[in-house]
Amino acid sequence: MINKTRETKLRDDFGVNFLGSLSHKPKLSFSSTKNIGGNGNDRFIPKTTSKKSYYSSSQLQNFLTSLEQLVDPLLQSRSPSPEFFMGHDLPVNTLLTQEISSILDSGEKKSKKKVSRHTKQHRKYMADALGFPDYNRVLQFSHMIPSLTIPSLSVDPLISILPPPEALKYANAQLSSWLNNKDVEKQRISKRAESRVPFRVLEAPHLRKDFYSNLVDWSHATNNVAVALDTAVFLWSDQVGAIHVLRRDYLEKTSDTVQCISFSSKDFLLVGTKRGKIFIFSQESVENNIGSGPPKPLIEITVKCHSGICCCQWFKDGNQFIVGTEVGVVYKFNIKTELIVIARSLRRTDTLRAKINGTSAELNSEKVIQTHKIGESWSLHVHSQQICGIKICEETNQIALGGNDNCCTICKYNENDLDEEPELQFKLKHASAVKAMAFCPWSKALFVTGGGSYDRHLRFWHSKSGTLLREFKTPGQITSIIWSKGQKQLLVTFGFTNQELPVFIIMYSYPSMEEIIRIKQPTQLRALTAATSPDAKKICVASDDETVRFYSIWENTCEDMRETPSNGIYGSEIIEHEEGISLNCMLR
Amino acid sequence: MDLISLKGSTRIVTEFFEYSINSILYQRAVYPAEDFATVKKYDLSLLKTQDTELKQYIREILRQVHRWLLGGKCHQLVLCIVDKDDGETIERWKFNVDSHSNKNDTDDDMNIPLEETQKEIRAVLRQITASVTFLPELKNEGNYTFNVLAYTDSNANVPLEWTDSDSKEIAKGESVQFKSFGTSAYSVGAEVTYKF
Repeated sequence: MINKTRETKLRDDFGVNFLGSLSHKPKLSFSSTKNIGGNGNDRFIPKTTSKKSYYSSSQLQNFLTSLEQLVDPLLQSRSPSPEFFMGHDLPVNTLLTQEISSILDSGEKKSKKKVSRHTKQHRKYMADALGFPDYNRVLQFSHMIPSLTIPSLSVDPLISILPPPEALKYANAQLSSWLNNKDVEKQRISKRAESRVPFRVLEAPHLRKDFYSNLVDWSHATNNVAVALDTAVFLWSDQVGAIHVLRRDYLEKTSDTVQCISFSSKDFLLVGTKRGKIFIFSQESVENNIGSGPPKPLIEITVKCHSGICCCQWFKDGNQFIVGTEVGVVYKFNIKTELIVIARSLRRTDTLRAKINGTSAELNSEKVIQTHKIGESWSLHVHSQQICGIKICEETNQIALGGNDNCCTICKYNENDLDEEPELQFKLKHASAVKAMAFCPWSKALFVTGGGSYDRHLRFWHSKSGTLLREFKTPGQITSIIWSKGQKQLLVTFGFTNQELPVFIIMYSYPSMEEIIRIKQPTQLRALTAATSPDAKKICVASDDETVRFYSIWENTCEDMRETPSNGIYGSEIIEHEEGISLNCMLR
Repeated sequence: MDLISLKGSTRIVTEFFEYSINSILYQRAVYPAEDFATVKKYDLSLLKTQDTELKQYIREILRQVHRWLLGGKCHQLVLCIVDKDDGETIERWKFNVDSHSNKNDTDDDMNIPLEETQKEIRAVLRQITASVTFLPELKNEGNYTFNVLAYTDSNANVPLEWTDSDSKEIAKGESVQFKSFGTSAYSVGAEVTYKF
């Protein structure tokens, strides 16, 4: 007991001294310090008060071990922590006085700088050890899963030497560089590796091997695929399989053949023939009347010039279309749907000129008959030979016509009145027939054409000015071009190619024109026509071995690119997501 | 005059980060040009990535940064362009965020109209785009990746995906300071350091 009180008293004594001038010798005796040290508390555990005093005393801040002192064998036993203030023997005083005198003696600046560096270092170590926060934390985002096991991170000698936060950073740096080396390269390649093998092949016996025909199409309304086999037309639906649309004997009577088929964005299927006939079928009625005799077309007409229909393109509204003929004339037609309501009770016939969808519930008890009328609104004669391709861009109000007379023409139509004859804008020169054309979905003014077997060039045009932006040589006759909607890529199908190195399909990146996918065939195989699926991720290609091949091309991309500003209120999905704003709410 | 609250200010800053990160990644060809599509923003045509993974990655980063900014915990964001081979930082794009609330400014002058902020942001983004002319060419195209560092206060909440890092400074690099922009609550400065 007595001993203890003595001790505390001594401590108090020391405290006074400690806070007082350091130049005075502390009134500590040998024995008392030993006592303290012998308590088992030979490590100084700072409390708030003592910490404060340590930092607040300006003289103490100057105090610290310099490098020489650390190296000095005489002082080796001394750890550079404030513990020796609590006692310990003689060298404490000598050390203190040395330090202070050295500060006073030497050039102030130099020593100060030196000391401050070590002070800092020391403080940092202390702060680290005590878990004091670092004022500037630098954080790095690492997308790896935190629980990821590292295969072999053998104990790096540096990790044990560095203070804990430094060691952590060092370890992280090692880990991230290891991950970078391993993973990044792999990711970028895997993203682009899509299927090169068709996921479905349909047999198409008697498919005509003709560059000027367009004998396959994929409906964006019903997901059906239509194939024309010589004189017959079939619809392929996932649910039912093949459905007969146009019987073989029907056209054989007049020794006619099918030359083009095309789906509208609605229910219609157009069939064009060698003798200039156009049939319009309704997919719905064809599907509903399986087994009940040959389907009847809604409309059957013959174009004025009586020459073959090579190609067709519908406007987005699904009721208007343009056909191109073998003599180079294009016609535009309108389909008008009328509802004839026969009210049974009154036995009176009413004709309603109305939209089909509006009138439903009231007419249940009555018989409704749809009639379709077709009218030609204009014709255009700008090509001297077959029209091989037609494309419409409704953003720029342009119609592109590709001809066998080695040129492509771009016409501008009146947006408000589609029945007005379009105005010829540009004639784009090529070295052979132009069948493949495509307006870019994510850059309105970009238009690409592909030349025939003599030409073999992709040409990129600025569609608003008719300027040739770029020519690119390909290995074959280009039969179709399809732009990706989600990525800067375009897919090109080939007809006749190099005999030694036949190629079927190539996907290029744009603008670098790097080959991303090249689909080869062991023997020469010609792609005749290609069509895209409703979701624009798959394509089907009619080829000259009498098959229709289906490829999954852009399965990995999910969003469409748009040229318009990103939608949303702040134009940033990140913020909207973070603040819980959903676009659907905004639209209401 | 539209004045912007703290929340609105933070949105502007985060959004600016999104577009500037995208611009830098495109301009410095860290990712192939094919991955980027033009977007109209701040009355400029800017390029934004279309790559789903990269989009998700940037989104994850900025969502957290947005949270930190709202809490006043983040005061600097750094984008490092790193060589894949040796992990060396080639370029370091630094964005300082000074929060006005830290200072004892009671000025009402700090209320900056949205148009003014947008104008300043345009100037910064133009400078970032133009910086390609003086920055040294990145020779191994396709061999770079990027890292985003956030300087936060010690007491910030840190999700598991974020780890402590060194500052990835470029020793003896050249620095070029860009213009800055201010919102009612922050002023943001930009600077690029590159290996000379």
